[in-house]
Amino acid sequence: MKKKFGIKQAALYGVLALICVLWIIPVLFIFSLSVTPETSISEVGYRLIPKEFTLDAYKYIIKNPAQILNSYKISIIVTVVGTVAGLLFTTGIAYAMSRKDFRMGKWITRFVMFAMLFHGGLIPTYIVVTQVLHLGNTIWVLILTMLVSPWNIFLMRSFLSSIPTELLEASFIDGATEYQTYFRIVLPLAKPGLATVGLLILFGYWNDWYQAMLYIDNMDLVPLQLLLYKIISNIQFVLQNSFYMASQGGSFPTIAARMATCVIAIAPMLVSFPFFQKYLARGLTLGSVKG
Amino acid sequence: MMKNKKRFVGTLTALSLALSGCVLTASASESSQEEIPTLTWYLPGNPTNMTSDGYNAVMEEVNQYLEEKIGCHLEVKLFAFSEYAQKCSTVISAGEPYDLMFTCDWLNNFATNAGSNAYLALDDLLAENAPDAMADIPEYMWKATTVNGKIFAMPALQTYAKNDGIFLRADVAEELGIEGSSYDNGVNTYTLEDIEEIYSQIVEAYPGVIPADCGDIFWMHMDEAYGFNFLGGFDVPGVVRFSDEHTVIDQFQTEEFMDYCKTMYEWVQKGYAQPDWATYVTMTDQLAIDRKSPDHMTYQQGFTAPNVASMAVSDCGWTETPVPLIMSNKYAVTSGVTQSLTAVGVNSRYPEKAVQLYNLAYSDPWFVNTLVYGIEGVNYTKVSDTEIEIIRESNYANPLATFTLANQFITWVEAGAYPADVWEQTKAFCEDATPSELFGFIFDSSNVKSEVANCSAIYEEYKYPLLCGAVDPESVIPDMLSRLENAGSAKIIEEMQRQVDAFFEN
Amino acid sequence: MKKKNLPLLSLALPGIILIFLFGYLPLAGLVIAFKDVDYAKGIWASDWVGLKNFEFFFKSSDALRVTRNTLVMNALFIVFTMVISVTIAIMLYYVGKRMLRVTQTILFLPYLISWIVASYALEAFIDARYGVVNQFLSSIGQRTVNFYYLPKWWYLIIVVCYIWKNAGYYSILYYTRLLSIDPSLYEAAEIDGASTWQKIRYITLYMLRPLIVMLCLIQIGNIFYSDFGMYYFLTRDNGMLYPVTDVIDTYIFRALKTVNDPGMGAAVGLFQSLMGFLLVVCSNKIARKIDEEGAIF
Repeated sequence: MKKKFGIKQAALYGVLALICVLWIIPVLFIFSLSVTPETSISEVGYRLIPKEFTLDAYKYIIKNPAQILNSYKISIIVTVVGTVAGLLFTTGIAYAMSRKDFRMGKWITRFVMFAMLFHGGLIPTYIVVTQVLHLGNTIWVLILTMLVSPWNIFLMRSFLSSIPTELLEASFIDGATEYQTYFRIVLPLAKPGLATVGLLILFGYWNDWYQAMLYIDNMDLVPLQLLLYKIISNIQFVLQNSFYMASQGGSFPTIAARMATCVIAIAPMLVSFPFFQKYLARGLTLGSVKG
Repeated sequence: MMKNKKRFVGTLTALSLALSGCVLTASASESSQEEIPTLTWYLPGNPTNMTSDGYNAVMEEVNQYLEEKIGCHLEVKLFAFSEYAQKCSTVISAGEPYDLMFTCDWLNNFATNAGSNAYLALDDLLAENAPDAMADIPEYMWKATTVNGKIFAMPALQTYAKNDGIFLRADVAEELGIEGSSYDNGVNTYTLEDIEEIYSQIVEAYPGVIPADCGDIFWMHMDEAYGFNFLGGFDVPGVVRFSDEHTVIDQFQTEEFMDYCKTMYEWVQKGYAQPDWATYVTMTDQLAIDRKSPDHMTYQQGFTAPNVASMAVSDCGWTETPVPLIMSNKYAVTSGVTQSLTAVGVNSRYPEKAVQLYNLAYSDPWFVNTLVYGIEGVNYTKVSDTEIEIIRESNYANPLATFTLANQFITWVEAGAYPADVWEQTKAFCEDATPSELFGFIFDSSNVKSEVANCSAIYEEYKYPLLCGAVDPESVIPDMLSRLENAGSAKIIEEMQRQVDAFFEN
Repeated sequence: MKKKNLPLLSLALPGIILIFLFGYLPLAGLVIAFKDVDYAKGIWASDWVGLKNFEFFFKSSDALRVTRNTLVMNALFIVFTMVISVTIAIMLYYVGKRMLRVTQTILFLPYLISWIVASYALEAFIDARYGVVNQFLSSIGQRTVNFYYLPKWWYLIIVVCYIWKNAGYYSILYYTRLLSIDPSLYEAAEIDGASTWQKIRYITLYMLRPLIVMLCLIQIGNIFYSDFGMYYFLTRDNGMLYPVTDVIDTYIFRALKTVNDPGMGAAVGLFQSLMGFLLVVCSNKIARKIDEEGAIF
């Protein structure tokens, strides 16, 4: 797709750049609010570039560094293990569903579809997890409950379906077994799909606080997002119900703290993004198909 | 193919068998008793103020003490306020055993839970296991925790009396020559019109200032000022007047409601309140910031008691104790007590010990204060008999809230945040309150669940716009009333009346 | 034939077990919808009440309004995200590597931001006093607008926010699908003298069709559900905006706040699932007619 850099191309870049600007401004606002002293909002209104600058919000959140570090650790373990295992299992079931010559595939598809549309609800799930599987208050609960999601399975299936059947047939004719074909042909070809779904699983794990809130009582097992949620929740509560609470030792940042938690939580994700993007470049699959 | 299918089904069967096996073994192991039982206590608080090391150190001391006193150990399950209700409702619904649980009318709803038997009836346990609680708590308070004739929770001693009013910044009051009310009943009281008059003086004397504290809504707390006793909560139709507690009326149809909304509508027009009050009131972050502004002159927070004055000082960063402008007598109403209760779980394995443990919290300052503040020298330092300084960077820096435990009046205060004798003042404030005739009445909504659900949903649509003067009540209230009527408000009133009649008969 | 079943099944088995454990076992709990929950008896032994838990929603005068809002909003989301993210994906397909990476990262960022945080960013724009829009309006001498009081703006605001948050996510999905198109198709089309537009229309969109259909189908299955956090936080649960922004989930939340009955909540959830299920089965039939590959089951 080599082309000279013409007007069309320039227009394309222009439009995309514009979209990027539109998309990033609210994000910049979030960042800027996290370093704006709160009183300055009522003085000069919201500003993208703050008039004054402060790191109070970050200091407030990191006042207990040991806890934050521990929560980071938990989050990283859960995310890494969950993403690897989740990707493996998601791909496995999605591949079985994508094979048109596998008769049970149709039933598995219906099985997954039904699970996507009907939910037992919070309390029954809680009973199953804590009283049937006895996973409450373990790190496993954070990993297992979110390991495969029907939505990701369907996405994966659609990527796998786009692999030409001829390639699989050719592999079988060469005498490869199902497993060999799966690991040597299918998975390498599905790299962009794996990268995309992997990214989604990763973000799902990283952003989750709800599962942790339901199942984790032990502060040693609290993942980052839940810890941040607890910090913010505390600020919020003290503001709303101040007559119930003793003073919490002077004033603390509110809006800024909220924004700062967001920045603290998503910064590590930005680091992981390029790793996945490596597999999202044009030409990669094509090369391997032809080669 | 057949074979595989069979195998598939076989796996599933095996799996479900294994699962049911788990259930069986689990229930078997649960019934075996330890020598010294460990009680679990669910509490809302601030878990991020402690680490598990800090918690363990404090609990070690507490448990040693408890072992001698009661022969049990304690495990506190502490959750942030915003996760607490969810956590409790899951634990309750799942039938998980626990021993003590904080419950009230604003978080982890007491009436609904007690109504669906989530808690253990305590009638037979109290006399023997909770002598201190029985002695300390005014007898009428127990009525507030009685549902369907049984006591389902133990009330905490905290600010249970209520009156209506606002606080005015001290220097402003002096400047305008306004004399504050006394906390005693009926001395120098103010009406809503008087307050409006004061606002107009403020606007004149300090141009550009918006006098009303828009962080709270008057109506929600004007129950006493209007002589209303709210029976089903602020969002549900049905109140009685203190002057006639036998007749249930629909507060939304009263003249007072119309007048109030009109007044607020005027306040916004006249610039006494924020122009965007209806949305501003929910923006707590912004509000907290604005309260610190030098232009902020009044403070309103539910009711007007000595400890609320201290809150005003710390929330607004004022230097002097503000002047109370009080609009009503002090009443002890059910909701004043039900704002802090503790219940025993229906599946608790050690109900006697649980009640004994809570009883200890009524009378034992060491126990309560250690739970709240941790270990002396490590987590706090003592300033005087009742004042301490919290070591904020320690690993157990006040994670519990004093009002959630049995007796706030025996807790210490953080030096500087409150006057040293704040709880004595507050206790005195509460003691001469007039108990309502309907004290202890708790509305049981189970017969009119759908009506209550739909009416409160409709009212919430109008609540802030009307109460914060965003819409003209003359045209909007009739609209709202007709929708409420269609949703069955009359049926709720009727049911409430029936229950009130039954209450007086007993 | 026989030979391949076992290995394929073994690949699928861990997933099947997990879905069974966390998806199917809890389904037994749907009985709550038909029970009057009494905790002393436990959920299983509580009394049956038939369809009584469903009554409150269907009796309510707002059921129609909130259902309409839910469907209209979701329909807008489905159409707009599809059009916009497909467009973005196609554009990404034609740009260089560096631009690609930067754009993808930026577009994906909002997906990571929670609605509650996003609501503050929104406020920075449309706050009545301090917002950027109103600062601008008053600087040019116009009257300021309190958006939080005016429901008519909120179709636009909600849709824009939804797209801001989700378009990056969907465009990555579409973009990844584009990667698997055989370039020889384009080369052949070029030789035949096809314009860029024709190539997009006849090759790109054609190849994307199964994925588009599938994603739409899944979204239709969830059309009776709404992202509670989005409506609740962005609008600050503001009654004045309910004519536009009140959806089934926010209504249920509000209605059950006082009553707090797990049975009534489960009943509405079951209703939402059933409607979604029926819709998906129907749309799947239609999809199958349009494109064999797009149908999901």
